[in-house]
Amino acid sequence: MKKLLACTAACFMLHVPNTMHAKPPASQPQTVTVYHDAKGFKLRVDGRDFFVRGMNWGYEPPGQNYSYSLWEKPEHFIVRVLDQQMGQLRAMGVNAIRQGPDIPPRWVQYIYEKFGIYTVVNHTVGRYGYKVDGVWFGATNYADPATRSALKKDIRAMVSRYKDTPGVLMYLLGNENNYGLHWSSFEIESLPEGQRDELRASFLYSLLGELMTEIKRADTRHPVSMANGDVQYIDLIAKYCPDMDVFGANVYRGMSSRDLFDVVRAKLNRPFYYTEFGADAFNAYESEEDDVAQARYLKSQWEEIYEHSYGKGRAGNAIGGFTFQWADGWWKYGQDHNLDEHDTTASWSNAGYPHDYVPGRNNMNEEWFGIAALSPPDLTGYAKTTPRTAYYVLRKAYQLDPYAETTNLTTVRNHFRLIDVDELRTQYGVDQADRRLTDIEKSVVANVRMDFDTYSVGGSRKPSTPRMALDFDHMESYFLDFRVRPAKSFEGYLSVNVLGNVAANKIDEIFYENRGAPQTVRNTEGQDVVLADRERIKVYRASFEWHEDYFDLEGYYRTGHYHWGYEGDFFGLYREANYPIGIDMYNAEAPFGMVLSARQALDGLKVAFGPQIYWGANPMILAKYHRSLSRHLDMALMYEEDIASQSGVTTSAVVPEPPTRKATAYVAFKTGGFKLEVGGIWAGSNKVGQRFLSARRASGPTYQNSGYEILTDEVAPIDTLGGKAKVTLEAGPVHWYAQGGYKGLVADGGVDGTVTFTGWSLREEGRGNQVNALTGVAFDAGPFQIAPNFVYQHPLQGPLPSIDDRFDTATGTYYPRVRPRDVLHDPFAVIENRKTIGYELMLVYDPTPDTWFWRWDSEEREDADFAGSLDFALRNHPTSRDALLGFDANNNMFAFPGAPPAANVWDVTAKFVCNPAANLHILGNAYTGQGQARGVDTRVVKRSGVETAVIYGRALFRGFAKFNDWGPYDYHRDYNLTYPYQFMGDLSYGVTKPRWFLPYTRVGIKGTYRVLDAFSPRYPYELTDTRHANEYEINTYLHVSL
Amino acid sequence: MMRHRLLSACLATLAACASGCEAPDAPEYVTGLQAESVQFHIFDTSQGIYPSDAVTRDPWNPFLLEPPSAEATWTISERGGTPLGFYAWATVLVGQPGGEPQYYTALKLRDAYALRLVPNEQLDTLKSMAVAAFQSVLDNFPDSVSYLADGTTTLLLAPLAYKEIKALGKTPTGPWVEVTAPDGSTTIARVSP
Repeated sequence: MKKLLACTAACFMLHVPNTMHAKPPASQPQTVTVYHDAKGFKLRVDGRDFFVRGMNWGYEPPGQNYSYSLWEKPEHFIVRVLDQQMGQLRAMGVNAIRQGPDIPPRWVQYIYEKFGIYTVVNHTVGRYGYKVDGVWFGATNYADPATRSALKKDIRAMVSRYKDTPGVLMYLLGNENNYGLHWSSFEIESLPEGQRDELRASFLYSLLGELMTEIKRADTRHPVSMANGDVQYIDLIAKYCPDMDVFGANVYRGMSSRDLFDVVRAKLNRPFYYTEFGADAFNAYESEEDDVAQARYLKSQWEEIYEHSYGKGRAGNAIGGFTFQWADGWWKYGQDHNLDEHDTTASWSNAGYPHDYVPGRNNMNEEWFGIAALSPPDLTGYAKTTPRTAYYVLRKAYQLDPYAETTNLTTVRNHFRLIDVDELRTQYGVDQADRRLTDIEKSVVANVRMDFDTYSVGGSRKPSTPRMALDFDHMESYFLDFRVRPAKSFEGYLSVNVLGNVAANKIDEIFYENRGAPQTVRNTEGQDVVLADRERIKVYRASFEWHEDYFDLEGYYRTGHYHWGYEGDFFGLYREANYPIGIDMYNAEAPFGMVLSARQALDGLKVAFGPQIYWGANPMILAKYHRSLSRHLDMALMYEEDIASQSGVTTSAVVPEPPTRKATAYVAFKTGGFKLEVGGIWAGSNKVGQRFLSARRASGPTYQNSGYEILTDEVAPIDTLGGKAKVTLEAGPVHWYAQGGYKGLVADGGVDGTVTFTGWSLREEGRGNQVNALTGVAFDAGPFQIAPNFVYQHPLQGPLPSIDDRFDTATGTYYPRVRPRDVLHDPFAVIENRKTIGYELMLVYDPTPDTWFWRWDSEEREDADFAGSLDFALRNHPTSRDALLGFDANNNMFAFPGAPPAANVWDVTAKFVCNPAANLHILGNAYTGQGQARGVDTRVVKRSGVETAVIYGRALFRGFAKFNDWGPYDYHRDYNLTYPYQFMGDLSYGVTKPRWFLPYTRVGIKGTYRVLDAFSPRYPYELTDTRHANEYEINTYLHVSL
Repeated sequence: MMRHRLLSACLATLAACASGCEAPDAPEYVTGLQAESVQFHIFDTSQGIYPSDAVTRDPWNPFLLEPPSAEATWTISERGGTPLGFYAWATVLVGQPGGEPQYYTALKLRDAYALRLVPNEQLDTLKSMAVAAFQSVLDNFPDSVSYLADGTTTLLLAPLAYKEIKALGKTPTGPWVEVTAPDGSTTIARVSP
């Protein structure tokens, strides 16, 4: 307080009318002080009164999220963004922005010198996790001495970096850290529930107080403040933060903050400013944009700030505020998916905004808080902002100088009374109409994609068909995407593919457009007929979303969906269904179905149903009820009923199994870093009573002298049951898990789609007929992670050997044949659940844990200069397995007559992402190891290869080199078809920066070259020949996409 | 068995109740099947007659779990007796429809009739089944052949089936006529509609 009072009342007598954008000479850091007398508080910059007309500003275009950083972009792009958006802010009257400590000081100075806008530098003090000694902690432990020390070091570095920067207004610590006090420790857990948060808060605020003291010691020119969550723990703040100059808070109380200013004055006797406040521009009740309501809230809130400012006879401690926020954030709901969608889902509830508040329903739309609407980025990546009505309202409001000698409570009220929101809506109305016109146009045709390709093919191969022998062919494929929105709550999407010519000579002969290739069939007269125009037009993808008060209904046809593994599906019944390549390659009609998600009273209930809700699924209905019983306890129940058999599958990797029914139960207990999950499964009850054979090795007389005793048995009710338990424990840099399970012969679940800590490749297989145990530990050591993993699984009934049948004429005895089981003809089979003892060691280097290396889209998101992993896996298979299913040349499914023998196989895989320069992005994968065929071939393949993708500006190069590896299709592995060498290079140049997961306009050339031997398809010589043959393909293409 | 040892009786009770309260039988060793122990039963009057697959549900069929191989089927057909031979051919017929398994299935039905392998009151039914099986050769597999043991000499099966029907005292149906060759031998021919 003494420091706050350093500026005396005499200072006030020298009051200079507020000059928002007046600038001192360049390259001079400002001296910012707090003035205080009986009339209240004011902020002063170099002795001049300064009323904070602040804005929470950031640039995060649609398609990006929190990991996006403008400051890492090329300078010309930063200048363009700043010049356009700071220009809009200055025209509005904004004189300060709030920025994280990643903003380079040169840009702080640039913004100040060019636009007169100051920057409040905001360190979040571990609000969203913090790295201590190289280890990332999701919940910052403010009681931990090492954490406190690291934060202090960080803050000192921040002050050192900015203190001499012109344009810095003050330092701001935290961002509602009081809402994120979740760490756990023995000290905390030993307290009664109600006292834990209070203790955590005392650690937080004592740290903030210490940080403020450090800042004051290091920089005497700039005040320090905090961004609290409302006025929670204000008594602790008063106790622990004596060096705080200004109290700041994020406050969302609606039209009025009521007694907030008085409480702050009474408890803290400090100046106050909002670090966040405002209203969203979306009416959740009406489900439509509501810029007028937003403007009314902000007008009211700013009027209240003015009334409580210095000398108005009220609290006198308001020095301004930072409106939340400048532009909409399209990433905020979901945060890492649907980033291109402006989501209208309300994510929290606040009765302070009664115009769209209904008890029990959310009304705050996190993606709509901008006072400027955001447009999708243009071809250069710039996302334009269109000011909403609130912009014009505040621009008018800011014209009143609160510190002018003539400004008093009456003039403030008159000033705001004369601001007519409806009248000021005109401009945004015009802009909005313009945008809606564009929307209407897009609602008809959302995208057009045109793929033009040529194929030049040759080599000494033996073409499979006469048409495949063509030296040159071409292909055209067109995609039309439609979006329809018959009601605000419903949006549909449809993509249709239209074929031009279909190339017949591609060396990769299975592809989406191949459905339209001419096909020869024999008619009833015995004559061959060529069908030249099959399926020229086909629905490529479709989806819809329907949001109502009581439910959400989402439909998908080949558009993909996530699994439910993180929401109680402990046995993987609802599988991940994002297939980037396979469904096009094999023309699969999957996933195809709908998901109904109940809301309100039945929140937690989901029902999925459809013809093929994941690839290979039978037509089924699947229901799940998941809910949290307390902070520590979750439960889920699931039920699946297969309605019919799936017939529409054309590749061996996704062979459907006979219909069945399943039910699971799941309970999870978690506290601190400990989590225990337990579940049970009941499945395959319709197989009870089905007979099966089993085999066991024996000495002495055996079945047909095979060395096996063969037994016949039947599936019993107990064989339908299974259970598993999993424990995870995270303590600082150590992450450990262990799990074990038992599954009866027919208690089949699905593959575990979740990721436990890291990207281990050895994981639990979902099939029944096994006992298993897994454990692994991941150690974090700075940017490194070392993660050994172990898997043991053992089938309850092992695989069957292959023994021919025989009739002994001497004894008149028939000995039936014994064959490996398969999933179509037997109640169960030993496949992925074959006996396995697996060892794995994963090494990861990722210096930027906020963009996690194991995310599915890390290729695009990973922002480290270099991140990589190395994985060693050894699988010991001491026994064989049963038979898999395959497809013959006529696409008829059959069971292979046997299986590869017992073998040990190992794999080493490496993956890296590299960003050596701003416009250079490099990805790579390398692998080497052994593998077995899926069919019956006994040859163990020793294969290796490297794959890479390089983005340089708008150019993209992809390539691979593979040695003694299988070809690209499932049948290659089924029949153990390998190539000695395979090379591919694909270079393209686009009109925009390449996008990993979406089509874009580009032109390119791709070359593929393969060397063939006797194990390769299309090998032209006798199989005993040792000569090599070859085949190559040159593909030129122009792909156009809006 | 391992799986039975690993779960508690509690789970077993729960599972049994959930799935029909049936106690599991103990597994049995698979040993050879004595041909003479197999008896012929009429489970369904369509069994052994294409396109019926009734034999794959016949509890007396010893090939329910696994059909016999081609080699074993021929051996059984020659040396395994009529009942086992019937079940072998009839099972093959379901898995691989063709004139050859249909014809030999019919022969086994005929033999069963001749050997009176069913009660007297079922003999007429069995005879009708044999006739229907031979008729199926004419109707469904009119061009099919079989091979003699030398592996090269072919036999047209339709004339043989035609004669067997007549030998059983019935008249074949369909577009078939009996013709006499100049050497005095008789055969049959299909009349175009």
